[in-house]
Amino acid sequence: MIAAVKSKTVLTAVGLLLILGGQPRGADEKSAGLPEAVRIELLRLEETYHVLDHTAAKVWPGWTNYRDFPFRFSFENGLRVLVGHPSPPQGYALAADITVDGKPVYVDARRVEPLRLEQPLYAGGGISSLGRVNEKPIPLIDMTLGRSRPREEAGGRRFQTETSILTYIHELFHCFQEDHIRISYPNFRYNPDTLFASYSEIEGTALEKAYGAGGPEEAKRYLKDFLLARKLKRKGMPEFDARCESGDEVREGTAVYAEVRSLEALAAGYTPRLTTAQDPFYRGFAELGALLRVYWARLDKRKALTYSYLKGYEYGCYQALLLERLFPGWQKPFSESAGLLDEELAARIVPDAEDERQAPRRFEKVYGFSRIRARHAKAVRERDAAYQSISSRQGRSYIVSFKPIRQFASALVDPRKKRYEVGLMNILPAGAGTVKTDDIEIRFGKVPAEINQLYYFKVVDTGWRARKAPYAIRYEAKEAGDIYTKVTLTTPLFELKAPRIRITEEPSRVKIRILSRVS
Amino acid sequence: MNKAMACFLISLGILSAGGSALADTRAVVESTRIYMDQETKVTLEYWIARDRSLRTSPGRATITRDDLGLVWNLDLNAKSYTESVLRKPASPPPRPKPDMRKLWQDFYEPDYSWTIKDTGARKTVNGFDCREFRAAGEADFAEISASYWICLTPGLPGGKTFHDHFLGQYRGDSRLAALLKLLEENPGSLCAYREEAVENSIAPAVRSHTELKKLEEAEAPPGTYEIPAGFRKVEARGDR
Repeated sequence: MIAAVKSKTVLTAVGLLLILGGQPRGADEKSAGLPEAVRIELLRLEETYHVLDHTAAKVWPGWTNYRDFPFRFSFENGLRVLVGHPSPPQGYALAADITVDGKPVYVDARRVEPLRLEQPLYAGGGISSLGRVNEKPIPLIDMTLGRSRPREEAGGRRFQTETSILTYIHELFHCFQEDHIRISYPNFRYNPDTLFASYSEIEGTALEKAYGAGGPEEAKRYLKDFLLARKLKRKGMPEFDARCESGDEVREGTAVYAEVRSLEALAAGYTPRLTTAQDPFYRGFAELGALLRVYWARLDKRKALTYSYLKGYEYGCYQALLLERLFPGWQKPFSESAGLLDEELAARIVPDAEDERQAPRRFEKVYGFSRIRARHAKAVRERDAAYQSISSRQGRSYIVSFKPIRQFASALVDPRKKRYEVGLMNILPAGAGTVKTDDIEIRFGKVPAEINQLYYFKVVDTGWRARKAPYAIRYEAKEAGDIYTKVTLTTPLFELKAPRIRITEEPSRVKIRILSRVS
Repeated sequence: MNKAMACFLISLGILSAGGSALADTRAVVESTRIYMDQETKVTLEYWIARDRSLRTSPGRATITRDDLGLVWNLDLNAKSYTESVLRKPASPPPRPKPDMRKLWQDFYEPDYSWTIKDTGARKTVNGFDCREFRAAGEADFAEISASYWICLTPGLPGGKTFHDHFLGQYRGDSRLAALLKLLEENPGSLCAYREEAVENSIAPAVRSHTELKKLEEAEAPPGTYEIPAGFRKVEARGDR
């Protein structure tokens, strides 16, 4: 047995890996080269297959293809690990001494920087493709592993490996959808007005009440409320947008449903393969109740938000859970008909004219509609004012890009800061405060800031004409292409310290790209 | 050549709807795109006449009929096509107050500001004598760096037609504004080779190079600018 090596840099690790070679071993055996944090992540993927062996058939009839899709893990230090790919592109080297569930592992260490990887690492990602076989693109589950927890969970629960396994189940279910659940509409993109937000909250509460109901008739009563609220919500919406919203509920809702149903299926008994000794963050799904309550808590929290794109995840999931509970056997025809979850419910639970007539009174009495509407009206007014205010700022723009290090900007901002969402724009009327990650720190002044396109901060200096220079800079070294090392950059609106940046300066715009996390 | 393409070209031959008596311009362009470690090579063939054009790529063809004000997009494998109206780009009407609900529906369209530099370098690309210009485009959340090898030789067969066609196709496209400016400043000029690296706002970077392999004047096969027999019309995405 080759002893495990903890190396400071993955470059060293991969070098060792390639030199040592040896017989392929499962991820549960110590790999000589890969950092411990990476090895643990691969063990989690292996455990995911083991969980699905127990649950997939109970999640959706015919779900057997969960071993068929390659994974790519991209780590914060730039290391990329490809699992089970039939034809890895150039740059990936076979890790000869490790496999995951018998699948080969390939490593791309060309863009690694000396950042030590440590668990816990939060997994997020989606489906893309990489390479082709017989002219067909090879689907790929593309995961990014980072230390930043999702913003909604900041300050919340401690990390559990089970969450990563459930994320992998979610993504694998998206792959299953490709051939088994047709979704004909693109992503829903719509900024809510007061009407939309108010009825959307009624929908969420109605789903909650239906799921918590004492019996099927009571559940159906609340599902009628859900359907009637949806009808009222969509009165002013184009038909196409409405169908996109329902399409997202199928796309994401059934993938969340796969997570919840997996947890429910594990309640029948499960013997984990992955041990706490191998992964100290794993409890072998011993706390199923607590894990299930997370979904309920998310529904409860998101339903009341004036806007959250993520609402569709829980709304879709709970529609599917209620279909399963009230109308078992719904899935097969649903798969065949390219249906929408709300249409499935509407086909089985039909509000009559009297229900419709009574709906406004019932929404007031049961849900407190006026109070809900007043709250959302205020939030929408504030959002619109914030948008108008930030859009009208004229002057010199400063843009700080975290894209080169693949860091989402919004994850760096204190979650208690007031912000408004308009599509992919986050508006921070009172500024972004101090943001810090690794050796990077930016202290923003109290000027309105914008996060846009996931990776960028933007602030505008309206008094720029009176200033002699857009910034002052101190640095240790300068390279060609306006690249600076160990920098302190002082502008009228913020001070930035970073290990390595590139600056592009135009009369009305200064762009700063963060090139490295650590010195 | 795949079966669909062969079938398409045979159909063109059978359907002689009266080609132009004058020589048209034929161009062959090869393009390679690298995105997320994946390399995709495409060969495009152009036929260009005074008021119509055809562009074919594997499995697809686009016929533009200026005379009819129509564009047909053909799926050569499915033997189907969509039809859309050829619109002149119009300046957007002033909108005093945006509809907040719809703001998200517009994807981010970078508006690049460009700097162009004549490097003074010269080389011959597929018989075209070229001069290199480098350009950098900066937008708030995206950037492009490009190298353009421009052939400034006047009077090449098909040169003016291809020049005008390129300008007509891409005028107003911020991603190509630097190249368009270079071409506009040099009537009849051609871009024989270009390399571009596009750092998108969210998606990973795209690298590409595009090469003009052949440019000639020739008589287009009969029916080049017509919908081949047996193709059925389908609804375009978004026509709802």
